[in-house]
Amino acid sequence: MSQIEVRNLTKKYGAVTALNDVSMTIGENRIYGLLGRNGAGKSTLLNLITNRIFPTSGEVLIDGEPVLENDRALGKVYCMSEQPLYSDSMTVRNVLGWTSEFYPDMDTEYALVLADRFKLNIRKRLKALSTGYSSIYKIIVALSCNAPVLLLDEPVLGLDANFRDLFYRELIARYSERPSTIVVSTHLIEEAADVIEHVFIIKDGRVILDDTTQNVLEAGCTVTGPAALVDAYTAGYKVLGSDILGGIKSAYLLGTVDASAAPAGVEVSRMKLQSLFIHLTNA
Amino acid sequence: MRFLSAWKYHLAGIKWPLIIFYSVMAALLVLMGISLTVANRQNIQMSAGGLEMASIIFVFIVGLNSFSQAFLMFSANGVSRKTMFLSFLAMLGVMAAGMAVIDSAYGLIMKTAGNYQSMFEQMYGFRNTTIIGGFLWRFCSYLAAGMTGYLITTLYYRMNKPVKLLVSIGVPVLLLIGMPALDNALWGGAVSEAAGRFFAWSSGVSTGSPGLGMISDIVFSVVLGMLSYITLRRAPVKTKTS
Repeated sequence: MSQIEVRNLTKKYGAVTALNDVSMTIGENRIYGLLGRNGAGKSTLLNLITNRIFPTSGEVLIDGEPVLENDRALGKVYCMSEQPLYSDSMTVRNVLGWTSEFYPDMDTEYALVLADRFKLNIRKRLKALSTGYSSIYKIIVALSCNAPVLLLDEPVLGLDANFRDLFYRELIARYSERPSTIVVSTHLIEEAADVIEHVFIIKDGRVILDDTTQNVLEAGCTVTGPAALVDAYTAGYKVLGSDILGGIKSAYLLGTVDASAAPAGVEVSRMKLQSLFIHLTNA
Repeated sequence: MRFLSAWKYHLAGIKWPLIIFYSVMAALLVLMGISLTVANRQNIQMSAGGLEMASIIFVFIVGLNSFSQAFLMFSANGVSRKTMFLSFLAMLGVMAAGMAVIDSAYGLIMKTAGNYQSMFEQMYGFRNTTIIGGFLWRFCSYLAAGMTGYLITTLYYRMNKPVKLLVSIGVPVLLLIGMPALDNALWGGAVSEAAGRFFAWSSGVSTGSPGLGMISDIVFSVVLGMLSYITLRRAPVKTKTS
């Protein structure tokens, strides 16, 4: 059970600012979604939280302690990253063994059960694994290491629909059994939307949205119908964006509308997280 | 706790290289032992020696290979850079001590077979050194060799590709061709001679003092260790950003 505080974090690579004065609090025992387009700064943020890289300014605290060169604070976090950090001559079994050295609470039995469910041969060397299975072994390590904070950077990369579904079910099962702080950074928002309780959206190195998923979804709605009717009905509202297909228009609004006053043929529905994300990050 | 785990990881990494190295050394020992015994019986003048040089090269290579992979692995498992460095030092210390013991034993066994002189004896001219003296000298030498390898690999990690290329070509060319040529042209070889004299003095060879050599190795190791840590403490995990 740990809390992460990110304070005024800035990371520059030469003239490029990857993160710009980011502050956020990642509270205990929640599942967070860290959403952003390619190059938005998601991985940079996760790498800064785990002290894999150094900030240009600002700091990260875990349970009040700076993470910088701090074994105790770093030991509370496990970050599954897209980048391979283990020697590719290691077998999956080696990785599980060494992870249990560094994370003594690791549940190796559960790891073996997961390997079985994901049909992963733990005697295989990492270099022999496909992209999907490279994600799977990392998922298994992350879910079974029992670190109080789990950071999952693109966890479903290369996974087929069945394995993605299995991953989300295992994530929820693990979370229900042993609540912890989980941050999922992903592009596949619609799939992750059901498990995310709190959303951070990053755009151009800045956090543009930091709220609970429920608040975010209640803050807006989708109005669908013939274009002319939709335009008339949504006049005066803040329209984030719209799509038109064959004369049928979907408008994404901030704020709520009186659905009972909608003209015939116009439908008001809950906004989808992905729609909100697309229109916020395209703006 | 994380220090012990990191130390175990380093030790596990050198287990098989050490087994292979000493298997080869044991085979050489048997071959040399047989050759010396046969030569002794037939009154042929034959001597062998200096097995420690192989150990020094081995430890140097271990130092070279102890950074990149371990750094990424430790970063994946939330180990601070300070702990990474200290665990390497602890591994190097244990390995240097263990190898010094084995090499001392090898030397003693070879002496029973015939005319064998260890590197220590060849350098300092002692025919029969004390076991402790030989052990300490080997330990210090191996420590310095390992730290040299470690500093080189941490420096290389921090460099970008063009600088790596420049250093890989430039430094050997400078040291082996440029400097001697410049020295000969400008100072008639005085700089190279002074460097040689300094090396002979600091290693204790010119004065027949292995103690001075040990002190030099320790000072050298401390300086290299400090430089390695300075290089390592701000080393980033090289990664794509998104």
